Amino acid sequence: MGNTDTDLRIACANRGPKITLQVDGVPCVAYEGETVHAALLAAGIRALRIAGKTGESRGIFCGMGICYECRVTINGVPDKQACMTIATDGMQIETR
Amino acid sequence: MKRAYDVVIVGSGVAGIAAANTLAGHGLEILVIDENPHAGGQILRQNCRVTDGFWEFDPRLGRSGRTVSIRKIVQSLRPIQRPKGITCVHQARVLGIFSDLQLLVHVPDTLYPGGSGSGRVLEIDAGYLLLATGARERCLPFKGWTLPGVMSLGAAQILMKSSGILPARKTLIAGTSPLQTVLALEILKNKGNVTAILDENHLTKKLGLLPLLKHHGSLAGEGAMQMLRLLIRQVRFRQGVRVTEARGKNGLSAVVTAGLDRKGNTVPGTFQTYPARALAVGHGFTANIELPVQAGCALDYDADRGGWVVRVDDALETSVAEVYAAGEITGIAGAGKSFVEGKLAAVSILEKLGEKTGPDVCVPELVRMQKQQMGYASFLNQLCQVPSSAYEAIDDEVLICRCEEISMGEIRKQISQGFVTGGSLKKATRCGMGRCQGRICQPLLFDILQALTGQTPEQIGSPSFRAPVKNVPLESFLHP
Repeated sequence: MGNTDTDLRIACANRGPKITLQVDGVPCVAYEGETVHAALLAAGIRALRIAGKTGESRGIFCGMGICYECRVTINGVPDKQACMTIATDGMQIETR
Repeated sequence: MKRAYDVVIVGSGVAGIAAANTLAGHGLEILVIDENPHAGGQILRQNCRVTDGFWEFDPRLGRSGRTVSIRKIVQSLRPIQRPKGITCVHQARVLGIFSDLQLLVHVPDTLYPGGSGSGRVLEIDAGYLLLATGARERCLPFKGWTLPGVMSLGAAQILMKSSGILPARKTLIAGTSPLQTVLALEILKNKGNVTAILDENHLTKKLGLLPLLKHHGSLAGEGAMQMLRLLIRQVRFRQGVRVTEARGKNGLSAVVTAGLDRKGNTVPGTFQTYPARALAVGHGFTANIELPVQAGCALDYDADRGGWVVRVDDALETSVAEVYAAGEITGIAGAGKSFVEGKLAAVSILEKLGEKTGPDVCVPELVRMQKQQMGYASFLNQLCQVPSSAYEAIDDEVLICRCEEISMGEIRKQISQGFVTGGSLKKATRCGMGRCQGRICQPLLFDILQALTGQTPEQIGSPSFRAPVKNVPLESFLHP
């Protein structure tokens, strides 16, 4: 097993058209209808923010809008829950 | 969007949809509010991805009077044209319920284009309110449970169901929850791999709980079939083991487990390490009671129903007049109970409004089915429950409050100082005062207090929540 998981998209799943997200300034392929947290995971990005006191990385935990661990900045708006946001073409996402 | 509705339903999971189906066709204005991008709640997530229109359960579902299985619920759901009078808003959150059933609701910018990006807060009047806010998972904390890659069992399922993405190439599954087998099968179906299922429960505990399933043959059968399918697929299955540590730098790379004795204590010298990039772990469920508590609804504590749940009468009305509750928040018992209660609550509201219900609706039959479905709760919640020794054994360095980063050591220290009620311990430690507002750590804190102090639930006290029950940018209150 390599350092990152690639190819996490399920082959038989129905997908929307291909879109491009900008994640920390880097283009990232996603598909319409995917949530931001899933699209980032599929791109090999597990760490979504840094916890203030301990400086630890945090990522997806509940996946359903409860735990607020997956918050990222989306199109300039901070503290958006990646798991509750549907990815759209051209979306600017900042982790950390 | 109108600002007054005859009935407002909070949550469009199984209970919310069943209620909306029953209320439709009576000339009522009904608003369904859900924080997710699509309807369906957690169980029907995959089936409800199309947004226009609405959803309906086959009207024949549950008429036979027999147990309503999850499989039947999923199969009987079908898309319909949005019924007249039903408005459904998604990515919207009820922030608080105030006198005369005035609601503050945060709605997304998509309803009001040209906004600030922070959404808008609206005042909505409800004639009747039905709370169907569902449940979330519990997780027994261990060292490293905050590492990216460690997630709830539900989170792993959601990645696949909502976005068609596997949690990892290989996923390790652990905990006490029946979701472990459901998740493993879903991963295999999607051509992913399951490293192992590490079930904390010994076979003897599971067999001992089987008598509780005597009226739930179909659910027992579903569980047995799942186990059989996993055996055929040769999934590694260990029982009586607990995850004690997740390791990795900036992300999960390995999981350490320990064997458990019959009482649930870890056995020295039984440690084992598994390489892993994803660990899905869960220890049962807890009801989403924040909104009903804020509204003033009385609670009951019942471990067999999953802890603190909303108190309701036979008609599913809460202690606050005209506020009803249905589904997991009255007791964790799965989709069957949610379906029956959604229908029953809707019928109760129709009766209050003087509306005639159809000849196919029989209230005593619904009440009987609701009691029967509740029977499954004892099995489910006892199966998931971890022994109090597991809380006593949590290392001092383990974080309990993930948001405020409060460790078990700090909690132990404050408990020894005399902060032994839920409220005082929260104030002493800030545990539960972070972004999630205690949704993850508050049930843990309660279990820790029970384990460490031996107090009764009433002595520890029920949790309190104030508006806004979910974070909201103040900017969203600024609009003409």
